[in-house]
Amino acid sequence: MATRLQFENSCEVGVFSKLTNAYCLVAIGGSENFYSTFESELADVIPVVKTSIAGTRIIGRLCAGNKNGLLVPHNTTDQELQHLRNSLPDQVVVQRIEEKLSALGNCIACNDHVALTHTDLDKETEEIIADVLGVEVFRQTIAGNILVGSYCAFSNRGGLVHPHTSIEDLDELSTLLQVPLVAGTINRGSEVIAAGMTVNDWTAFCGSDTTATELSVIESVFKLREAQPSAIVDEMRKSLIDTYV
Amino acid sequence: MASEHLPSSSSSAAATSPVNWHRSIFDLPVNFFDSCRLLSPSLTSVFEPLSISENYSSENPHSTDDREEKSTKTGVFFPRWTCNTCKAEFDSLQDQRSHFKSDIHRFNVKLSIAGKDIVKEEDFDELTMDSFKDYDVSSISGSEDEADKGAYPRNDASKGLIENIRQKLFILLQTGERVSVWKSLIINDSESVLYENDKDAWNDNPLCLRENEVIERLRTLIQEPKDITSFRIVLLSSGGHFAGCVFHGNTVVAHKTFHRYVVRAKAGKKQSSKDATGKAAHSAGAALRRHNELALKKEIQELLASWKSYFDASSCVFIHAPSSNRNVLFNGDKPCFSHQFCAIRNVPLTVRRPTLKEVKRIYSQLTQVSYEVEEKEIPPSTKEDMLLSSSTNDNGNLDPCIEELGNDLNCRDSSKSPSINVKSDTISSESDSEVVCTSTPLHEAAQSGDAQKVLELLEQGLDPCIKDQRGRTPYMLANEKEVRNTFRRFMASNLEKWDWNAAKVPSALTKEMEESQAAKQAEKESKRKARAKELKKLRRAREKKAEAEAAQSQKTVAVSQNQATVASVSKGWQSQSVGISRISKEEELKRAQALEREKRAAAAERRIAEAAAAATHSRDAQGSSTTVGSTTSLQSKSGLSGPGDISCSCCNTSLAGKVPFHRYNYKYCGTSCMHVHREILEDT
Repeated sequence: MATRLQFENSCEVGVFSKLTNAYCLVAIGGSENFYSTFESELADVIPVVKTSIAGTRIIGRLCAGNKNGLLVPHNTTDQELQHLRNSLPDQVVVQRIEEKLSALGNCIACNDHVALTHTDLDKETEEIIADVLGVEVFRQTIAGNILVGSYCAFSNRGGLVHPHTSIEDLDELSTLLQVPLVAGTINRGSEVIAAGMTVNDWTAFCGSDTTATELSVIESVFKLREAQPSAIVDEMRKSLIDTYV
Repeated sequence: MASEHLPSSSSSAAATSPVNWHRSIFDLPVNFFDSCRLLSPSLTSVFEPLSISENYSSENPHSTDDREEKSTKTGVFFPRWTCNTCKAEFDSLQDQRSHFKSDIHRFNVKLSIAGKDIVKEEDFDELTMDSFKDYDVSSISGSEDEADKGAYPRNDASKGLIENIRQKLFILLQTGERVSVWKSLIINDSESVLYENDKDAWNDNPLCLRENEVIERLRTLIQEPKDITSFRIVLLSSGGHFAGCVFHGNTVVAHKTFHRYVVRAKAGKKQSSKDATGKAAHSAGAALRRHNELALKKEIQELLASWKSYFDASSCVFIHAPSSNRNVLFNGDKPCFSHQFCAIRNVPLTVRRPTLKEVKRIYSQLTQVSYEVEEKEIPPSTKEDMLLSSSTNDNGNLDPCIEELGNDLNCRDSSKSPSINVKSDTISSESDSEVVCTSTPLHEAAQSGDAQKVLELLEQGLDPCIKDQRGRTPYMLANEKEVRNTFRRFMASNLEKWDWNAAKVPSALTKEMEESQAAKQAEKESKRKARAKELKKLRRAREKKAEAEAAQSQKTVAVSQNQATVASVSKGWQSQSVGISRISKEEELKRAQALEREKRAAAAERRIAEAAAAATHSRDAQGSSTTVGSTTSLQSKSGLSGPGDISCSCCNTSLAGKVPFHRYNYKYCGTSCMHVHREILEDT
């Protein structure tokens, strides 16, 4: 289910948090309320880590990651990197990237299989993204916006993109990403999708300005209604285990 | 010309017929060159397709265009793999995904964000000189693209075509088809072909090949037994890139590429050639490049040494190594390809950055036999005309004939693939104007700046519209104003005589215009003079003032030094203050001096004050302070209120035994005194 919340009177929760299928990062110094919302939703499934990146709280815009790995910008301090390595599960690779575009969250949008990236990222960065996150990397724009990480949010089950995306582009993107996409808004009409929400395969957190309509669109496209953390395991059990003995 | 319909037929043939338009010489049937005839290039009125553009036009646009049309017409969505940015459609998800990872897509995204038109794939290939596309084993590009673009001349359409005609052999086959092969495939650089029609005395020259010899060579080439190894080697080396490849027939036997960082980034040229200019840089980069150059040379020579066996068995070596790169190939300790039967030939094509791909391309171009589209029979009369025109020309050789042929090819080429050759369009349009391109005495006179001669020649009736070889009219050559004016004056008097527009003379210069211009000039001159005079006057006045000032200040200094009494000092002040009011400019300097003098005066006062009675002196001091100003009063007061006698600064009552009120340096008996004194100070 999608949850509405606020970070210190700001609705841009995607800026102050990063949610993936394997971990959740929350900005340090927020009110305990913000943190505890994440904690109550996720704590028994994935680790919720309080951290800063490069000494700032805008961690959602600075880092990019999925269940396989986490990419942090070059200005991340050694302490922060160590803290992240200590807090995240062992199978998550944390990698610092030497890339002049340091707001990786704005430049990279990804799920566990594919990533859209800013066109100006280095070739080396592209290779690192592919290796660390285990994704196929496509350079694309969203409705003419080069910051793909800001203007779209997608999980393995669906995605929400900038409201001005044309139908052709929507089709093209959804064939490319192999997930259903919908053009929409967040936070009562904000087009900066990824700043207003953060999502994984079974839950989403949206800014508290998000209207009920926006919320219902999000829940339906990300398939959050039927989704529970255990749903995936159940699904897998069906295919993995033939018969109970 | 009967050529309008030809291009379409040729392109459609290329698109539809499965027959290969270009075939490798090694794939030809053995009897291919039986009873064929060699065609002389001067009379070869053939259509030579620029093979690169031919390839592109035959491969891509038709199919994609059709599909685009279809996709725009059908508004209904059905699952398909597209890229809207690049306006492309794909057959599978794999294709689409690989496209989205490709450089052209990235490039197009950038272009579309910048609001520019996207480029098509074929243009992109041209644009980037396949620098991005080297995903094969070749060395991945390391140096700047721009530098390389400059280094490799683009295939200028007309020039390339003429060159191509010279570099190729045209053969009329038994079947009536015409084919062409590159000369350098079978003929050494030093040899030339003797055609049927030039019956010169050159017959016994051993370096001239007769037609049957050429054809014999071609035959042996295609009858070459496939099992016996006879290699052809292509070596390309330029800008720190080296690519070498050994071919047997169409197959690659061995290949190797090197890349070293030797070309100075942004500045261009190799480090060694920069060093040769005398200004050797000592930067780390320079050292790196020098080292790399040596290393590259060593690597290449080692490679050539290890390929010794190939060189011994090879029939010819194609080399592209501009300028200093040649040294690397030829200046080894032991010459690698000195083998007698192995001929060294230059690559007659435009060579891009040396990579394996490029070597393969060059080799396939060199060894291909391209079918030429037959020209409709040119009536013999036009041929005669062409010859006649060439013989009337001073040069007397075949150049103009070939040029015209080139033009003609050019027009056709541009009509065939209009999107590709913008350059050729401009060339052909210029050649359309049918102006004989020669330099005239008028050109020379204009260039040398001889206005008199120009006028004479113009009056003799020489045409100013004639263009020289580079398409410039005499007016364009004139670099002196007087000469240009001569042209314009002549234009004014003979407006109807010539097409002055074609002569590129911008406007006529009439008498009235010249007069008005002269008047304007004179006016300007007089204005300038007047202004200079005024400035001079001003300067003189200022100098005078400064002198007077200096004299005055000297006088006052002398006065102040001589006189020690307060009265004289105050008089000095007065004169000084008058001086200040008069000259406001040097006030600052004066003030500094005045401060100095004030201090001296204060010291003098103090001495006097010790001697004289306190009351009278204080009154005196008061008087002086009012004349001099607040600063002096401050000084004098502080001087007065020394440790000896403490009195109120306002009412002068003694403060002995009291706790005084302090304000700045003043001491007061009470607050009322302080207020009164403050008001006094503020008023002064």
